[in-house]
Amino acid sequence: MALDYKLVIWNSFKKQYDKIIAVSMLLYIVVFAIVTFTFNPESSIETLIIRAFGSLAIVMLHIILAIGPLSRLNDQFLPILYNRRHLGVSMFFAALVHGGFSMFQFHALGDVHPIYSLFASNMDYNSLINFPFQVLGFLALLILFAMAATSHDFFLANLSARVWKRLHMLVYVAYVLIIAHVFLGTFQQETSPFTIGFLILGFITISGLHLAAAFKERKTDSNKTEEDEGWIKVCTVDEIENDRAKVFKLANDRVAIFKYDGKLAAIHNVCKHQGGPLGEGKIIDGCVTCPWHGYQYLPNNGQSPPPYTEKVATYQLRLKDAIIYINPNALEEGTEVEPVYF
Amino acid sequence: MDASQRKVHRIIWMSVAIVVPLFILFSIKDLHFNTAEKKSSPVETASQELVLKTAENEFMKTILYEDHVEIILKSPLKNASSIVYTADTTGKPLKIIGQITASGIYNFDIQSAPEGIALYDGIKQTEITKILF
Amino acid sequence: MAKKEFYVSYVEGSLGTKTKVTLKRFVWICLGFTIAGAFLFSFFQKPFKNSTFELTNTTNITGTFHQSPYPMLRVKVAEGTYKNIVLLGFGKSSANPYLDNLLAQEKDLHGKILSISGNLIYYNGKTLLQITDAEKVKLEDQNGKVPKKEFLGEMVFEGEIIDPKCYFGVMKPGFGKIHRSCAVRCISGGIPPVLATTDKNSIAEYYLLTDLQGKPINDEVLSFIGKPSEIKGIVDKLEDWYILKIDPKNILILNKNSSIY
Repeated sequence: MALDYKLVIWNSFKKQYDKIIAVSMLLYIVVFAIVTFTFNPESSIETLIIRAFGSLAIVMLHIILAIGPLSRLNDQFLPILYNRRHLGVSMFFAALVHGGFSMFQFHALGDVHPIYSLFASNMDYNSLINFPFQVLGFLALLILFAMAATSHDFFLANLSARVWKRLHMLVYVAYVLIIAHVFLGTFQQETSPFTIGFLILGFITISGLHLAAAFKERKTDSNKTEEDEGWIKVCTVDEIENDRAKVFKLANDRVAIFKYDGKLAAIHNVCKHQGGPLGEGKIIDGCVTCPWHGYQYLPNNGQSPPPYTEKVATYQLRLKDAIIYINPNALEEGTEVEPVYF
Repeated sequence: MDASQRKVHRIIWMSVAIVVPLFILFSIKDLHFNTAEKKSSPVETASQELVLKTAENEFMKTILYEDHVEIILKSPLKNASSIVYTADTTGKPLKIIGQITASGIYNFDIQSAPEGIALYDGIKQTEITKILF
Repeated sequence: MAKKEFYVSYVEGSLGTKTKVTLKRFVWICLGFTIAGAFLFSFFQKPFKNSTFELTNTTNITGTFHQSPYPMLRVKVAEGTYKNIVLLGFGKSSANPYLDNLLAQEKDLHGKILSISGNLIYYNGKTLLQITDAEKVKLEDQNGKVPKKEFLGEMVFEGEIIDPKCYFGVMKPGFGKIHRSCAVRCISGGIPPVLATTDKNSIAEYYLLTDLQGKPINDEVLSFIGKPSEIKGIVDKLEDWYILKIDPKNILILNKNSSIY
C-alpha cells in the first residue's frame, strides 16, 4: 500500500529475516574457506572466491525457488514469502561476485573486450559438452540483475503487477541456465558424484514442489459450475468460515466470496500489489487483508481504505435457500455492491 | 496470479521436469567419476648395479651407486630453480652435479661417494632440501 | 475447528505459534542445507597443484635474451648451469611490447644480456617471468651465449595445449574446460602455447609449440586449447625446454578426459 516509496520499509520481522540471511551467507563462505584451506592448502584466493560465491548463489536459489510452492501448499510458509525479495537480492549479489571475479580472471586484460571475449573465446556452440558454459552463466546473471533491480514496489506499481510477475517468472529461465552452466562447466572438470548428486536432488525437490503446487491449484481451477438463470451456484453459507472466504472459479477469473458480520460480499481474488490470493486472506478491521503483504480492501466495494487507492473488481451475489449464487459478470473495479445478508 | 499465469507456471514446470533431466543425463553420461585415484609417483628402475646407500625424505629418494647417484623426485618442487649439490656430513653443499626440473628420475655421475645431497634454488639462493646418507 | 493463523506484517503478535514452529523448522532445514552445500562444494574439489605466481614479489634476473621463437632469458643459476626462463607480458599478453624501447636502440636483442625485474611464475621445473613495466627491462653492456638447439626427430604426443602463464602458476586450475576461454585469450594475446603431456609413470613434459618453420603459432591453435589431443611434430631440445614444430592440421582431438594434472 504505497503512497510514497522508501528503499525498504523496515520492521522487526524483516530485520530478523535479513539477519538470518546475512549470518547464513557468512557461515557458508567461512565453512567453504576453512574446508578448502584445510584439505587443499594450495588453492588460490581467486578460485576460492569464484567457487564459494558461485555455489552459495546456487544454494540460495534453491531455497528461494522452494518458498513459492511451499506457501501455496501450506500457508504457514507465507511469512517467508513476505520478505522473499531480500533473499533474492542477496542471492544476486553472491552471483555477481562469482560472475564479476570470473569475468575479470578469465576475460579481462586480454586483446579484446571482456564481453566480446566471453562470447567469442570458445566457439563450440554446436557441441553440448564443449559448449561455452560461461555464456549461460552470464545470461542468468543478466536475468537476476533485472529481477534484483526491479525488486521494489516502485517498479511493481509502475510496470503493473502483470508485467512485473512475467519479468520475475524469468527466474525459472535463470534456474535452468544455471543448471546448464554448472553441468557443462565445473562438473565437466570437477567431477564428483556428491556435488552432482546434490544438485540433482535439489532439482528433484524444486520441480517436485512446483508441480505439486501447480496441480493443487489446478484442482481449484477446474471445479464444475451449475447455472441458474445466468447466476452460478457457489456453495452453501455454512461452507464459508466467518471472516474468511471461499475461492470460486469463474470462466477465467477467481473470485473470493467473504462471509463477515452476517454479510456476504464477492471481490476479484487477485491483489493489486503482487497478485496475492485475496480469498486466502482474512477480514481484519472490516477489511479483506491479503495474505502475502497485508494489502487491504473493503469487501463491499473492492476499494482500499483511504488514503490508499488500490481497487479490485466486485461481483453481485444472491442467496436462495441458503445457497450462494454469483453473477459471473465482474463489475468495474471499486464498484459498490449491496452486501447480501443471511 | 490469475488463471493464465497459473497455467504458464504449470506448463513451465512440466516442460522443465522433462527437459532438464534429459539434459543432465546427456551432460554427465560420459564423465569419469573415478578419477580420484591417486596418481602414482615415479618408480625407481630395477638396477643390476650394486647399491651403496639409499636415503629418502618427503621430496625425494636418493640411491647411491658406485659411479652415479639416482634421484627420484617424488612430486613437483615449489621452486623457481633446483640445483643438485653433493653435500658434506652437515648437509653443506660442496659441488654442483646438475639440476633437476620436473618430478621424475635423474641420474648424475659422481667421482666419489658423497655424504649427502643438497638441493638449492639458484634464483632465490635458498636451500630447498638436503638428505644425508 | 482450530482458529487458523494469519500473519500480517503490521499487526503486532499476528505471527501464530504454529506458524512460528514451521518457520523455525524451515530456517533450521535451510541452514543445514546451506552448511551441507558449503561442505560438499568445498570438500570435493580436485587437489590443486603447488604452482606459484609471485604476484606481490619482484625478482630481478639477468641473462642472455633469445627468441626461439618466443622471448626467453637464459639465466645462469649456478656455475656452468643455466635455466631458460620464458618471458611474458602483463595480463594476457606477450613480452614483446615491453622490449620495444630497447629495440629502438638495438636492432636485434638476440644474444644480448638483459636484466629484468618481474614476477616469477614456476611449477614442476619450469620458470617464467611476468614483465609489467618496459622500464624494468635493462640492456647490459655485453653479449651472452644463446642455447644450442638439438634436433631430436619427429614424434607423436598425447596431451593438452595450455597457456603456460596460467598453467604454471597464475590460475588454479590453469587447464581444462573451466579454464579454456582464459587460455584462448592468453594465447591469442601472444603468450606461447605449450603442450603439456604426462606419461603413464606420471612424468610430465612440456613443449613450446611453433609452426613448421619454427615461427610463433598462436591463432592457429586456439580451437584446440584445453582439449586432450594427439599432436605430431618435430622436436628440438633447447637445454631445459623442448620445442615442438607442428602443423595445426595434424592435431587430433581425443574424446577423453584430461590427464595432465
